[in-house]
Amino acid sequence: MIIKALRLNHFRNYQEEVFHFSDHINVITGSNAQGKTNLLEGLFFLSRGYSHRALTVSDMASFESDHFFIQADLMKETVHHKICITYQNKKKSLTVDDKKEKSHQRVLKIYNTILFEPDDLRIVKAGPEKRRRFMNEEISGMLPGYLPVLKKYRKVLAQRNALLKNIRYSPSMRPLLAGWNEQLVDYGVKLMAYRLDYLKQLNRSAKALHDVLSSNREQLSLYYQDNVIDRFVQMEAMRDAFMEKLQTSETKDIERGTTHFGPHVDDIIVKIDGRDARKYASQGQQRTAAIALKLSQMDIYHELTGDYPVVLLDDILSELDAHRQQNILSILGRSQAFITCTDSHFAGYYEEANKKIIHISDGHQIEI
Amino acid sequence: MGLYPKAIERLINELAKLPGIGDKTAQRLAFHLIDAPQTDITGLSEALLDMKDKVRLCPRCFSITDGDLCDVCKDPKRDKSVICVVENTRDIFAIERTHEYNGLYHVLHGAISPIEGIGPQDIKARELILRLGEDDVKEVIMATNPTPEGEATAMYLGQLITPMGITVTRLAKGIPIGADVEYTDEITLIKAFEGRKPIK
Repeated sequence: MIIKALRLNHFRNYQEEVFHFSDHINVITGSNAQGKTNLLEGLFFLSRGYSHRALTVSDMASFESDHFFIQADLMKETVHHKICITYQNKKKSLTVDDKKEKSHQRVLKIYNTILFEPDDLRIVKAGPEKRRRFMNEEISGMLPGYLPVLKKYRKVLAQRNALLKNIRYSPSMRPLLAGWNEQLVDYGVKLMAYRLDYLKQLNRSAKALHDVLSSNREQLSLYYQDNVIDRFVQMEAMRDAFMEKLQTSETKDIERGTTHFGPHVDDIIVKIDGRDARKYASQGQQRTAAIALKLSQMDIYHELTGDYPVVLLDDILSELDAHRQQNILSILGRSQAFITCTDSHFAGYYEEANKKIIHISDGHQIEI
Repeated sequence: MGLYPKAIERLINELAKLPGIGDKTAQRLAFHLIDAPQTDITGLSEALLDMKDKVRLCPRCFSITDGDLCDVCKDPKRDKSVICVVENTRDIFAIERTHEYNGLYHVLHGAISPIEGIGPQDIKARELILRLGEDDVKEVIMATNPTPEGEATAMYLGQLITPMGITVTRLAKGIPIGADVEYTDEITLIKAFEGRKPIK
C-alpha cells in the first residue's frame, strides 16, 4: 500500500494543507514544534482510528477549532482508495471510498501503519506494561479479531476487580465471583492463543532481522511468559490452568482487590544469546533488540497479507549511532516510509528518484 | 436559554429528558404541541396520568400490568413449569412476538455489575428464588443479554438454582438469521462454533 496524498484540515497546527508523497521514502524535516509529528499522527490515526498521543479525539482539532477533517488517498495494489475521518459536533465519523463505516475493520484491510517513536526503543528495557502494550498494538493492527476480545477481557477484568473490592466489605458476595471467572478464562485463553501465535511469528521475523542488525554476532529469542506452549494441543489445558490459578489465588485476590493471574500481567521475555536482555544486555544491545522487535512487524504483516505496511519513524534516527542508522535505512527501502527529523542529511543514503523531502514550518510546507 | 416563554421552556426541558430526544427534537415536539388542538393535549396528558396511576409491576414476575397480575401470569393456558428470566420488561414483548414460548417470565430489572455497584440485592434475584420454592418449576431459561454483565448474572443465578433440582438453560448465541458469515464479528463466530449442532 502506498499513501499518495494526505489532506489535513484544522488538524493540530495545520489549517488546510495537502501533501503529496513519494512512493518510497518521505523525509519530513523542520525545526522543533513545527508539526512534523502531527503529520505522522494524522497518518497513524487514519489507519487505526485512535491516536498514539492524544487522549481524546478533540485534542487533535487545531487551536480554537472544534472540528477537523483528514483524508488519505492511497493505492492498494492497483486500486485507488480514499479514507476520511471527520470530527464534528463532538463526533468522529469515518468514510472509506465515500461510504460510511461504523468500525475501523474495513480500513485495516486496505491500510496499515507501523509507528516507531523514541519511546519504543525502551521496549526491551522498560517494565512488562510496555511490552504488553506493544503486543496489543501490533496484534490488533494485524488481526482485526484481537481488539474486540481484548476489550471484552478488560471489561470483565474491571468488573471482577470491582467485585473483589466489594467482597472485602461484604464476604457474602463471594459466590458471585464464579460468573466473572468463567468469562475471564473464556476471553483470557483466546487472548493468550492470539499472543502465542503472534509470538511464534515474531520469534522468526525478529530473530532474522536481529541477525542482520547485529551482523550475526548475537542470537535473539523471545518467550511468552516463560515458555511457548503449542496452542492446538494445549488450548484446553490452558483453560484448566488459568481457572486453577484463579481459584488458588482467590483469597489473595480479595485481600488486594485485584486479579493476580491472567494475560493482563503476561510478558514477553527477550533473550540475547540465551540471557535475559532486560537484566543483562547493554543499552546498545537493548536498543538493537527493540528495533528488531518493532521493524519485524513489517515482515510479519507481509507474511500475513502479502503487502507491506506504511512505516512511520518519528524522530528515531537522531537517537541512534551512524551504524544503526545505516542498518535501518537499508531495511526501510522495502516499503513506503515517513521519517521525521530535524536534520535530513541521512537522506543522501537514498537515490533522488526514491525520495521526497518535505520541509515543515509552522503548519505549512515550504519550498526551499 | 430564556429564549422562549417560561411555560414552553419548561415543556422543552421535560421532553428533552426522554430517551432518544435531544434539544432540537424537544423543541420541534413542543412547537408541534403548541399548535395541536385542545382535545389532543387533553388526551395526551390524561394518557400520561392514567398510565402512571394504573400501571404497576406484577407482584409475581415483575413485568408491567394494569391489573393485579400481568396478562401472562393470569393466563391459565401458560405452562407454569417453565420460567424465562429477562433483564427488562421490553424483552418479554420481544419474546412474546415470536408466539413460540408458552411459559412464564421473570423480570430482573437489571443485571449484576460490580463497577456500577449493582449486586444481586439490587435486582429481582431473591424474588426469583422465592418463587421457585413456591411453584413447581422444572426449567429456568436464562435470557439475559449476552453482555459480560448478563452472562455473569445468568451464571450466578444458575449456581443458585441448579442445586434446587431445576434445569437451568441459557439462550444460544450465534449468527443472526439472514446475516453473512463473512460479516459476522469474531466473538460471535467463536460462540457460534462453540454452539454448533449436528444436522439431523
